[in-house]
Amino acid sequence: MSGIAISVIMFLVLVAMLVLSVPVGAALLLVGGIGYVIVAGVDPLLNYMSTAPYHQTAAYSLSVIPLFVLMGQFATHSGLSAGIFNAANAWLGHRRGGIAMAGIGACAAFGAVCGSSLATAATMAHVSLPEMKRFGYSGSLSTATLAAGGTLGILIPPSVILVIYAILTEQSIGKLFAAAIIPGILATIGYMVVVSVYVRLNPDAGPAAPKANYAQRFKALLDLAPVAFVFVIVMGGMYGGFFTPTEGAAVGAALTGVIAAVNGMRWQGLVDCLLGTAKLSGMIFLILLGADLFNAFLALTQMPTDTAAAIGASGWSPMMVLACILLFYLVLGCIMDSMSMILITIPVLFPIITHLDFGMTPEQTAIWFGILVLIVVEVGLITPPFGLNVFVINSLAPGVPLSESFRGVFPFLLSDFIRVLLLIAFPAITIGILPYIK
Amino acid sequence: MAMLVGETTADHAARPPAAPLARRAADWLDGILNPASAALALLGGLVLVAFMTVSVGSIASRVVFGSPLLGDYELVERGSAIAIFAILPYTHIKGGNVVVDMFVGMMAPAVRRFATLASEVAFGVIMAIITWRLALGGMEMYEYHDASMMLQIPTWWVFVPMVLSSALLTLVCVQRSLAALSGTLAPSGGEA
Repeated sequence: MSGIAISVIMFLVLVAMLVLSVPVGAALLLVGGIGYVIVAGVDPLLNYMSTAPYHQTAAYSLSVIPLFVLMGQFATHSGLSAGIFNAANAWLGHRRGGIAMAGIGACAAFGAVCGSSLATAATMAHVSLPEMKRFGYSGSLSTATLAAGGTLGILIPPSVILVIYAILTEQSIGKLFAAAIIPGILATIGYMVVVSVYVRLNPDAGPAAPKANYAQRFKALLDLAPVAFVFVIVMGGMYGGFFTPTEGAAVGAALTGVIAAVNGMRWQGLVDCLLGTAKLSGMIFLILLGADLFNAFLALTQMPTDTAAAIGASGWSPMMVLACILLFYLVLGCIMDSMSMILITIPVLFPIITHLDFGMTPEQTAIWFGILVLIVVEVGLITPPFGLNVFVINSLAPGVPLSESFRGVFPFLLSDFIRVLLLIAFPAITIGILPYIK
Repeated sequence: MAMLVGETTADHAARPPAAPLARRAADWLDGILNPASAALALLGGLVLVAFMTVSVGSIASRVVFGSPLLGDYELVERGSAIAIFAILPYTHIKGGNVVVDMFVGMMAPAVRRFATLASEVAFGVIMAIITWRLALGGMEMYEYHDASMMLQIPTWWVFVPMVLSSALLTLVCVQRSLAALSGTLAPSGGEA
């Protein structure tokens, strides 16, 4: 049997297992193990298992992941979220839909210290949902705003998904983070525009709140100082080439931990943070371990390189192929979480992209593609039927039907699509910053 | 229904009907594995905090003394292997591993139960094999006196906690298989 045939069969077995709700990491280990045995035999697999788990986890590049997760946990326990939201609210709250815009701005700011979408959405919901309710915002607008705003947590660096993409494709974490900044700002502005248009069409959805005077506004800005400080140190150190990404994450985690302690986190809070970090990192690393074995099997079959070479030689337009891949991610995102999606598909799809000519250097193409993939997989977090962000936010807003939350999300999706098209048409938005990064 | 030795009629009446064996075994194992996994995860978290401190310390040392801490990369790498394995049992016992749950709702309850049971058993078998192979791998490292470059940390030291964590995860799979068998396993679903 050819390598292609075996890998296609094993992919089908994997899909069948996932449909039967086998945990993604376990399914990858199982299918990868069976495939490995078919291609290489039992003994090579047993040898692989006796040291590979060590070499995969005792890896300096991977240690950045639990550190960023810990930083996000400290940030959610740091009491910073209220300050961030109040600062944004003091500047924007008096506009129509202003509190929703403030929620988006606050999500973006919180995303600068937190690399997870769900944590960002949930943390910001706790401080901004009550405020929106108090001023009579519609349930649809307020929940959809936060669900969409949460995706900024992962687009704006640090971002755990980008770290994984960087490791899989052997790109620089720092450069990927830098490339995500302008798309992240565009996303923030785009979402605010959505709110502004939405309240113009439905004036009752987001009435204006009283105006804060300038003294109050500048005083509120002070609350942003700790977040800005952490972001500048972590990102500045990394972009300046002074830290490795792991060191940046360690410094970020230590600083947010200190801030949390100053703001009143005690032993119980620390235990909660560590257990929260454990649960989230454990989930990531089980998938990582499984994906490693599965990808080792795929590499043995040479399917990824063969497929990439075949598509490269087929003469299909690169943009067509890219569009197909992004559409595939959009569909897959409706049923699968972003982490698993990236880990299973990038080893196969990334070589295809590198074999195509987009008129950029290989590094530029890799980074541009990474940001595009990041955005489309995150869209899956807010699309029906299984938009996780929408579920979480909706559960925090009793009395708002789930269907209303999903309806409210559609204008935000439109803004996402426009942004993806912009980034495809003008790669400079993402890669333009690269020459300035060491 | 048979009564246990030392049980009075009043005791018996107050209790729910005796649970099937699988369920009692699952509950009993849960009582041990739940705190054990949480304790191990906390230790893993402390290892994480420790190598975070090493990293920060190394930067401070570069600023102050002009040279990083000796072997900082090695400590981070080994700490990360220990921490990552230590947290895996906790994630699994809390049902925190990601599943694709879109199709579960469409399945008949019997099919769903069988799928859950089969997936827990399969995961347990893989983890048992990995535990066994890791133990052998650790012994090889011991025999070859494999150690890190700078600090000469013996590699088998790292394998010991890894094997223990992996064994605990295998037991967690056993517990969850029993719970699935008796139909008391809560559906898992992680947050990404």
